[in-house]
Amino acid sequence: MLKAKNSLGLILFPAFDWRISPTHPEREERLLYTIDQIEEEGLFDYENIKIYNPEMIESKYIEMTHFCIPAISSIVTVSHKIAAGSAITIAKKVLSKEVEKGFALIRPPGHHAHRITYGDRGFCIINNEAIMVEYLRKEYKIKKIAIIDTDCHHGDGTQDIFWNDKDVLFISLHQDGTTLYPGTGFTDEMGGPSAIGYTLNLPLPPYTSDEGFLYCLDNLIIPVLEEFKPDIIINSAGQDNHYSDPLTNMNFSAQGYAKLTEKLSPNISVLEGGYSIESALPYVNLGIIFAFAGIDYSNIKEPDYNPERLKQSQRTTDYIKRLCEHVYSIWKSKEEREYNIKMANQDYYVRKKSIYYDTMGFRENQLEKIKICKKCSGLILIDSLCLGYRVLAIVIPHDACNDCENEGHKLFENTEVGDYSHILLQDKKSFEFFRKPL
Amino acid sequence: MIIGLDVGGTTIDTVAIENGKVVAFKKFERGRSLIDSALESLNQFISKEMISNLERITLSTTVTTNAIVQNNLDKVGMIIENGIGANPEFLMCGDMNFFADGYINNRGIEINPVNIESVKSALQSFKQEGIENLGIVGKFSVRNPQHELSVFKAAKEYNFKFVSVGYKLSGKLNFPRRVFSTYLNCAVYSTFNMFYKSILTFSQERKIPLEKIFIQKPDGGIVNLQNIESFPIFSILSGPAASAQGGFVLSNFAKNAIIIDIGGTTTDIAFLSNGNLVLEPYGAKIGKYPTLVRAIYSRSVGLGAESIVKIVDDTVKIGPETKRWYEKGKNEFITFYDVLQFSNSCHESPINAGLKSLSSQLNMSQENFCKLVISRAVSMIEEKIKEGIEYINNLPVYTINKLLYGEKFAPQKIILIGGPAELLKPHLENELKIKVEVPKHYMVANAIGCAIGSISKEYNLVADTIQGKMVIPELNIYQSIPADFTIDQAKKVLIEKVLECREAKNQDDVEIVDESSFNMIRSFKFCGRMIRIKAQLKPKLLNLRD
Ligand SMILES: [Zn+2]
Ligand SMILES: [Zn+2]
Repeated sequence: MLKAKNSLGLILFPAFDWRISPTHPEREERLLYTIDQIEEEGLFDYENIKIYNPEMIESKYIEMTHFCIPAISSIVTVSHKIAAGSAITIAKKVLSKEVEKGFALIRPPGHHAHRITYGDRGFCIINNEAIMVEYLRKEYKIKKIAIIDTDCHHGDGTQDIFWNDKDVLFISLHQDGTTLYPGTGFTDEMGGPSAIGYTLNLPLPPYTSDEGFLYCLDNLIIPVLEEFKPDIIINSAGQDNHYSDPLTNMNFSAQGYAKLTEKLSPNISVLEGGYSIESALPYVNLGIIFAFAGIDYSNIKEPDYNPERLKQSQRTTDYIKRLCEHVYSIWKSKEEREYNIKMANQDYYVRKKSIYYDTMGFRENQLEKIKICKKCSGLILIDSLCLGYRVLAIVIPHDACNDCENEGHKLFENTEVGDYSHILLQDKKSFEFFRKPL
Repeated sequence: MIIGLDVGGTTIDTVAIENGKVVAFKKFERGRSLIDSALESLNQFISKEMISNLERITLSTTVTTNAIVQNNLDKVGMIIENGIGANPEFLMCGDMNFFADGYINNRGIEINPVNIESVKSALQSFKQEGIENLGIVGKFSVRNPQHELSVFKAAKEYNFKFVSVGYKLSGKLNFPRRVFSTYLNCAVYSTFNMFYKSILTFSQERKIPLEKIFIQKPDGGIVNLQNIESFPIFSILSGPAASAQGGFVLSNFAKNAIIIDIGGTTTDIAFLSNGNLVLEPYGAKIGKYPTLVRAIYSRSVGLGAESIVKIVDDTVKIGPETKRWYEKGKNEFITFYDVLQFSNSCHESPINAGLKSLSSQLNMSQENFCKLVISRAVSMIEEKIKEGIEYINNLPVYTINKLLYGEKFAPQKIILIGGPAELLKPHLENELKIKVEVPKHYMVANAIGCAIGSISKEYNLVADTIQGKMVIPELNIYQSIPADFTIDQAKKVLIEKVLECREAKNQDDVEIVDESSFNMIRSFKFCGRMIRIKAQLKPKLLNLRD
């Protein structure tokens, strides 16, 4: 039988019997041609490429990542639970060393799902990678995690969840938010008061090609990863940077994706977006799988691949060079910036946020307060208004000091239900979730 | 009258069945020439009366498998259109290989044409090198065989002795397996032809029409000798299929069970799930080649009645070496069969001395030594059973419905067949804590399986309404469909076509086993449907009445 250089675990779960609506881009047909291509390529026959069926996620891990409003049962569908479960399954296989690397090709995606979630944003309801991170911390005691989001859209949900978490380095490469949904992900979004510089955004101009992406990898992402020294690297592998993607305007190719995967060498990749289901996904996914497994991918090119036509402009090249320098300077000056922010905000660091649910057409307004604490990353309090609900969400971070932990529990106990529809407490330190009214 | 003949590793088993009853059976010793001894056995077994009301003879033979394992193969030239994907070097299985340009994509749409001129010069050089067998394979050819067919057409003027096109071997996707299957199909041509000719002579001598002679396929089905001429590869690995099929019939069509056939040299394990023998997801592996040849999924252990029991580094080792028939009389070996016999009767026997010496090496009584050997053997079998069950339960599923509600395979009993079945039964039952049945005629279950084999086949229909095309590769059907073609129409058409091609007698014999229909959206608009249907012939096996 055939053997690949590296052992690789795959979850191929196209959910052929699930869709949002008949013409929605995130639909049953999405992974059909990819599965065809993989089957025709004989990937199931490599003795060290293993295919696993996903498991269903336990609600506990959703609760420890999200505040689902009004409740998990009313907004999270079976397919979302399987997609998040897939991330857990593949993590188990990699962490138990059954395989060296893992790639979950699943749908629906998850990276637009914020900490508080009222439903579908950009086809996401719960955040597959974020849930995986909570699982890895709880079950495998993994401390330092890097999430590299290579989807064409800004990974705003993942950014939100790990905003004030120094142990999770989040880097997102995406098409500039002035030209694409969700309209965020600028370089000045760099993390909360205790984790400044641990969120890094690289907004790229439209029509950036392989060259630009790989430049960011070589000149920013890899150097930062070398300094951060994560215990595990997770790739939110969106494939909508492809030149044929109908929702975006980038010029990335299957060769580019394969090279990116080879250079980044993540431990685990989880599929995010990618809607050019026929012209891109079969080739991009195959390229990524080959790169992961260490199989020669030089013969994987889209039928209409033409690198000349995809070349980026000199202006783009120059811009990306300056962008990488700028973002690297943020990373380098993170301690100084943290000091300044903490000096300027003595008690609480306060942010007002407005989050638009594009697929459902409503808006959420949030007031987020992060406690400035010398001993830990600080208690988080969020007051959220949406769809007639008013939510008080309290997060005790996993590194919480005793004071912050006690304060969180006291606040939960002493706050009267009154105007609130939900009072919720996520105690990440003791891995417990509490709600009022019961 | 139905006659079955199974060529095993050590014996040739024959059986005659009439009106659902086994009326005669005999085991013959296998000689050095496989074909000769098979035909000799058949000659001896078949009486004039049998021929006078003969319905069919089915042969299960290992000639082609042996040819592959022993690398006794014809020279083959391969034309391979590898398209987009892995670096194709690992596909160079032929004696000469030519990689043609051109590409057909996953929907069967031609992306780049094939350059026939360059193919022709490759064919020319194959001929110059004395290559007479030609294999032609293209990526995604089962979705559109045009490129394979145009190469086939071009090859006509070069007069190859045997030409095989990939898309005809299976409707399944898996390009490397298609390449290897096509190669092997060409490479065993001469061996199969020799076998074919011997049978032809035999049939003329004994005045048995060729239409009555069938070959057992590795999926448990049977095929008429004449129909297999272009597919010699379908005659491989029929042994495990015969035993699985035999166990299945003798179990009175159990629903969920494990079929264990303990033979002379190996023990083969097959699995019955929901009333069907579990098949390999893509096909059999032959020698070093994974193929698309439909086959029963089976696990094999190098453990049989004639496996030699030894002590290596203070531990018991059974097999895989065997005491072969021509070594009989040499008493220095203790076989697994000897141990089973001693354990069940504890009688003094000629093997006693050997057994005494082995057991004393471990400071054990003979009884305890035998217990140890048997428990070691049972755990070898158990390991493979577990492997099989785990494998079956972890086969990938693609729908939420199957993931959440798909039935898990949980066997209720073991059907144990083969020579030493009676002796092994109590031990297997005790140690594995599962009901073990040894059916009547367990000694010749393989030959029975071979005799009663049914025609089993799978059909895949893929319809693409944007292109207005439908393919059923197994029936060689590539035709137009209207833009409003639906899944219900597709199901109807598939059954009709199977009937039209006379592969089934009535529509109840055809079962739809998988169906899906995908809306195809281009530029946010519905523009067609991708319909996929899988059907199979319901195996119709003869019910044995005793
Ligand atoms: Zn995206
Ligand atoms: Zn604190």
